[in-house]
Amino acid sequence: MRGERIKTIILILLVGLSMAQTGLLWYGLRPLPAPTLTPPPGQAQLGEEKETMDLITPTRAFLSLGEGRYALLSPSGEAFGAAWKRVAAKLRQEETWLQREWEPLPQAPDLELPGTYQWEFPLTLRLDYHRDLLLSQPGPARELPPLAHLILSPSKDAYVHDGEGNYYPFLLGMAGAAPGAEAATWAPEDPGLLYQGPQGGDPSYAPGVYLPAGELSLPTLKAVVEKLPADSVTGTFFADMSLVRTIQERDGALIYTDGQRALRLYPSGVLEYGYPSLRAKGPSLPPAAAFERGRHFVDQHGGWPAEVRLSTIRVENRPDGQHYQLTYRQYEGDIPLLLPAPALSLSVHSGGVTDYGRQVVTTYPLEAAQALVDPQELLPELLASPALQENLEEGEEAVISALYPAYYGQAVGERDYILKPVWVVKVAGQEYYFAGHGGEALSSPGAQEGGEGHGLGPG
Amino acid sequence: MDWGRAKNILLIAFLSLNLFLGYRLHQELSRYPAAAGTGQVSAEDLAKTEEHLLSLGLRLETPIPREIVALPLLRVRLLPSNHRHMAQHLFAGLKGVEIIRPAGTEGEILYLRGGEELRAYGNGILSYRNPHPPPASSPPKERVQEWLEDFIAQQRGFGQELGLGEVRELIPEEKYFIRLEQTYQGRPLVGSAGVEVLLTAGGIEFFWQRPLEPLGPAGQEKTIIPATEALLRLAALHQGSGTGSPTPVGEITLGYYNKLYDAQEWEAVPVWAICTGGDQWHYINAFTGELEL
Repeated sequence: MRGERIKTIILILLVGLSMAQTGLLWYGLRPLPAPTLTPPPGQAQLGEEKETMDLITPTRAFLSLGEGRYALLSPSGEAFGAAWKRVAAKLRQEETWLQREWEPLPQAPDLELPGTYQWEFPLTLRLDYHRDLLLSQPGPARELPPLAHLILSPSKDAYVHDGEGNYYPFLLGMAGAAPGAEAATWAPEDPGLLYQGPQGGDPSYAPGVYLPAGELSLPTLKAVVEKLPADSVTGTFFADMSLVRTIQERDGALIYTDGQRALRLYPSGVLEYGYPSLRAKGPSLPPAAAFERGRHFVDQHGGWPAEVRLSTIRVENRPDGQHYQLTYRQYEGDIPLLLPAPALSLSVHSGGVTDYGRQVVTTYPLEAAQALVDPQELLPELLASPALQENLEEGEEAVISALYPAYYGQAVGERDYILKPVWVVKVAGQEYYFAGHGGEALSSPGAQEGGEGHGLGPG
Repeated sequence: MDWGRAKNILLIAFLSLNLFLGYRLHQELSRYPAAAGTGQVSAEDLAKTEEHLLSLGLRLETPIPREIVALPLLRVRLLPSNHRHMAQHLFAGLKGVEIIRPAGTEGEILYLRGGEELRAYGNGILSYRNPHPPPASSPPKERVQEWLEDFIAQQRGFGQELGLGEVRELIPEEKYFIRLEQTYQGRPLVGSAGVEVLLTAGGIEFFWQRPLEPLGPAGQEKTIIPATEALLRLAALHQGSGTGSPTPVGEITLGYYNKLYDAQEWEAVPVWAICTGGDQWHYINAFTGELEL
């Protein structure tokens, strides 16, 4: 009997030992593998996630009220949101993009027709890029017209304006009542939102350039660069923090690195990240794939600020393959924030995101709204300036292709900016900046710290 | 049912199973000794690695270290600058030495006398040149040992514990290249650290130093990858870039890597420092197996 009990105990021990040994063999004995680029799901999100559409959506719209008057619609407004939602839904549908013929109209559609919408896009991208981005799959490799403005008439006819005066019919197939049908009786509460076409024949303006009908008043803002919590943000870049070492730079910046990639957090809140070994030669990447890769990267590494849009996309062909340089700009409503560095910048390669820069600001009102100078008063000086004349081809007429208010950032201290209203005038492909309160010419943001009095240098 | 007999059968079955599992476990442990925390690479693996490296274009001229240990990161800082003492030592006093702080440089100091020049940089580097050391009667060979002993003793006085890394005779030039390593618990600080000297019979022709101070471990110890794995990683990166004949591997050292940061203090990671082709150093992160950039 006693012998049986001993046998039972030995058997139990043997079963336990076999389970332990099986476990060791099953889970392996190798050192942990090197970390991968993509952090595991469930990492702390520091900002919000954004859909593709959110990043290329128009920055503002003009709704024709008739008699040469236009209402400015801001993305945060109800009128903008309700109308754009319907257009955006159509743009996401595959059948919208089946259109084969893209021929410009012999003459521009009537933009003054009451109830006509003109949506202004933050970046003039070709329609095939829009299609590939919004459908998340590449369509036929065919170049479509660039989209600077999308026009929607009360009769639900849509047109694509390429920013050069060409209008292409776009078979959007909008159903139901036209979004601008109520325009005849609609009037903006704020008179500052009432716009009109430029008065007088000189200088020339491109179609779709409108100016405030009355005085436009804007406040001066203060902007503070966000400071992401180091513990949370490093966790989104490095899967295994035990492999990460820190370097305290003498300028106060803190570098986190595992020897392959480095994250630098400046005391000013600016973030820089580099993963140079991803630049190994690889296949080229379609633009939409590069954009999506960048978007997911920002989703996972700090998140997006509330109001942000794609501002540039540039392709560089280097010996190690194609690199897409993407930058994003922040907005205050419909007004862009012009700072020395973009809010977000990414370099995307087929290997992944090789470089990432982040300088996101939060704005606060600093001074009460004041009336801005009439932008038309600034134009004679600009048009006569040698800087502009040098940019024009011989015999080329100076045409104002864009004129809009913006906030121009001047650094004060380590993390702060004063954001003053400015007028941005675009002529011959160059942007010129004028102080909104005073009208003096400014250099391009970041070209000269403190920036004033530089003269009429293009941006 | 005969429970006694059933137990006997089960006992034999589980005993056999445990013996088999134990054998497999032993095999795995000898394949991956790092799993046991510390250990040694087997002689069989060393031989296989050597053969594999040759097929990948690397020829070993030094034995592969067999150790596999657990190491932490090492906190390191720049030593407070001792450039004045070094200037006194290198110029044999400061008589006639001009001291300049070049405009627009951050913390840089220049000591000049004739063609002799000592530069102390803000990042801790000391760099000395004397293109025309005075002629001497004794050949440099006789001076090397003496110079080394004096220099190491002098540096000990400045808080620098240095060990000999390499002495190489440059035969046609009648000069010696000397590399001294700063160590922490017997392991060298590699990368931008230590001392390099070009010694002639007349004295020092070139001198470079970055004095660092190891402050102690940071974070938890982690088991490093074996040198065999580091070599294979390097060979994989090297593959295709060779000139045809295998590249010689002259040195394989486990040390703490220090890059040239614009920093006062940092954490140094354990690396396998591998020297190929006589003077090309590669640093393979001993935790991840990746080449340090």
